Amino acid sequence: MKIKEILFSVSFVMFLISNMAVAQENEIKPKKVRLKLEYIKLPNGTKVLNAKMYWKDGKEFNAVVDQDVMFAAVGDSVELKLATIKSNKEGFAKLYIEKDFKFPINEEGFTSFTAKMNKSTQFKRAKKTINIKDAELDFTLNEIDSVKIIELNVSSFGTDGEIVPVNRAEVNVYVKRLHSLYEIKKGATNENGFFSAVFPEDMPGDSTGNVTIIVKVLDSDDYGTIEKVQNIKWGTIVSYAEEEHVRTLWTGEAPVWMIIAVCVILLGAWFNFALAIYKVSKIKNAV
Amino acid sequence: MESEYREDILGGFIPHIQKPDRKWYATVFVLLAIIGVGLFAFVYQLYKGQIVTGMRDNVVLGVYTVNFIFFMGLSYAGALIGGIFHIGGFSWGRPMLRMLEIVTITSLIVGPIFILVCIGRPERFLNLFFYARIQSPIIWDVIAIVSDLFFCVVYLHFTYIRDFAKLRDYPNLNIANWRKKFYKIMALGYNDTKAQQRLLHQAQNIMAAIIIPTAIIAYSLLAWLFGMNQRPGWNNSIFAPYFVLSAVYSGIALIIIIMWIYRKVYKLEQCIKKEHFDFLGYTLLLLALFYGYFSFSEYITEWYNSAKTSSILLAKFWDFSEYGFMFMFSNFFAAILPIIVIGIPQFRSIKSIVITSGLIVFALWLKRYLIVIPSLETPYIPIQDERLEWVFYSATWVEWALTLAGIAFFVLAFVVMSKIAPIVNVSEMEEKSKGLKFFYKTRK
Repeated sequence: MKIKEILFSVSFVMFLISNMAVAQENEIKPKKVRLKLEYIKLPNGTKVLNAKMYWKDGKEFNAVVDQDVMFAAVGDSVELKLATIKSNKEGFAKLYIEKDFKFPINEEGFTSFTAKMNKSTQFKRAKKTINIKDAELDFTLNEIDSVKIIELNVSSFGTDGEIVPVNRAEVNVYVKRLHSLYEIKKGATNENGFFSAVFPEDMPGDSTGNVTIIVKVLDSDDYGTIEKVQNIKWGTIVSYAEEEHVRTLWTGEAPVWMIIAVCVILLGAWFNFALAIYKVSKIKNAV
Repeated sequence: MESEYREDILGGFIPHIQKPDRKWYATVFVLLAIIGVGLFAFVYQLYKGQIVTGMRDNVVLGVYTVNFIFFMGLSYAGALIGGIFHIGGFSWGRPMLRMLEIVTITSLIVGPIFILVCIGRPERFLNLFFYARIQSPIIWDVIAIVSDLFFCVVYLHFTYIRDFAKLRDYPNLNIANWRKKFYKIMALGYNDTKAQQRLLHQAQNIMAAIIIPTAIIAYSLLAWLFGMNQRPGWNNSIFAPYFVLSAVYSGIALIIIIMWIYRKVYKLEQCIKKEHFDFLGYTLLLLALFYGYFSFSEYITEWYNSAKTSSILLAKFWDFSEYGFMFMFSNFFAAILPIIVIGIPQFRSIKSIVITSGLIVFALWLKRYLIVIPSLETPYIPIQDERLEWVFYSATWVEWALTLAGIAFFVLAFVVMSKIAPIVNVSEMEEKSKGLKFFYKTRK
């Protein structure tokens, strides 16, 4: 009798445990979120904090959609809450900050930017911090002895606010094309924060020779991404006027060859038809 | 024996030409009743609009277009085969020449009527001529059909002239006076003199020579109407020869059926022999092989195409809840059955050839359906409104009524034409063959 009771108790407990395990498996676990944060300084001085969030399902990456992302800037123990932005369907939450907005900085001139997503039923908490120091990118376009040169300088600010050249900053020089950027040269600035590139002679421009030159400090650990843009008539003039198609399938007038072909076929057929009719018309009087 | 028969050919047809009996009137009445229902359906469609058909924004063409292609195929087949028989002087083909010509004319009338009932505003039809753009394949087709109709009507008359002259001169013909006048006018004063024979023969040769290329061009143009469209299942360079081949194939199958009916009804066993069925059966066998080859080429090219929509279209042909049965019947009846029935001597008989021909005609109608409807149901860019009745096509009673009316008109034309003059070209039959006569040579 006792053995039976023990067996019954054990099996009951095992049943409960197995059910709990199944229930736990059926519960939706919050997913781990990967968060990337970028700092971009646009040509007009506007700063962009761009947070991208995604989660991994096997080998597939999925965007974290419609989640609140809190942006903050920290410098010298002062934390400034910037804004809360919802992520879009691609998983991006972008914060645009005006050119003249002052961020708190620490002694070395760095600001810690933070993007944070709180825990929800779907996702785990995620946070990313980057330390960025404000920098300036300037470039000039000079033509010396028919050689077109792009000269650029990258500078930052010292602890006393003085301008300091940025050494070894990765820079890229591009020309804007219809669907992408054409890279002219890339490299690093020297100790004076200087970098130069020669503009190609045969670069096609628009109908007046205009080209758009873009220079970038690309994804620097200390300065983020900085962009500058200028237009100049350095390109070769290209005429984009389309040749007028006078006689085509889609215009009012048919191609000449088609009219000739149709006329020849129809005339040939109807001439023979008329000839046959003529022959038959002579039957009555034929002896 | 043969020459005796030849002299009495017209006499054998006289009872069928004279005053009609009750059976004839009953047949005509039934056919007219079916046409009447079709006319009612057409008026109903005009009154209510195209909404009474199964055609919608997605599937803009339906059974009307299928019938148009089918009947145009028959007409061009009739013209093509008739022209080749005449030019080639194939004496064994003479009994079927007139039937072919009637098939041509009747189909050329019935086919375009289906386009008129297909377009939503038939009164705008004349705009095709007033605002014609020579670049448009539709205009090419309109020109070709109009020209072909003219040529074939005139050619048909040419082939009737000698028979009309015989009927005009036939003694004691028990027919109405207006018919006697009709024969006199239509015979154009033909008296079978050497000079008249020469002139008529020349005129017939010229017309036959025009009709052959016109038929090929016209049906190719119809094929290009589809082939030039950027649609899965249509955009295919093989379509023009494929259409011409299918036309000849369906035309020969139909002529076998018509021959068999007239052979039975008019007791023409002396005139339409088993060899005619055998010869046309061999032609069907050959065409079945070509048809199978063309069909395979069409589908393999479409299948190998990497476009997703092409795969969706072909999947519908394999899916028995969609077009699987239609696809299977169409290919089995048109490409495989003739090889078995006609290719194996034990299975070959007049009846089996006729039944196979009937199935081939049906299969080729199905093939036209498979060309038109599934392609329209599978566009590259699907419509936004996905109501099932918009996405999928299903013909309504209006469309079926008009289809039956078209078939009834086709049959009626034969019933009436065989009452006007012999259904077999008597003059041709009586004439000694000057051209190729391998039929009688090989079958002594």
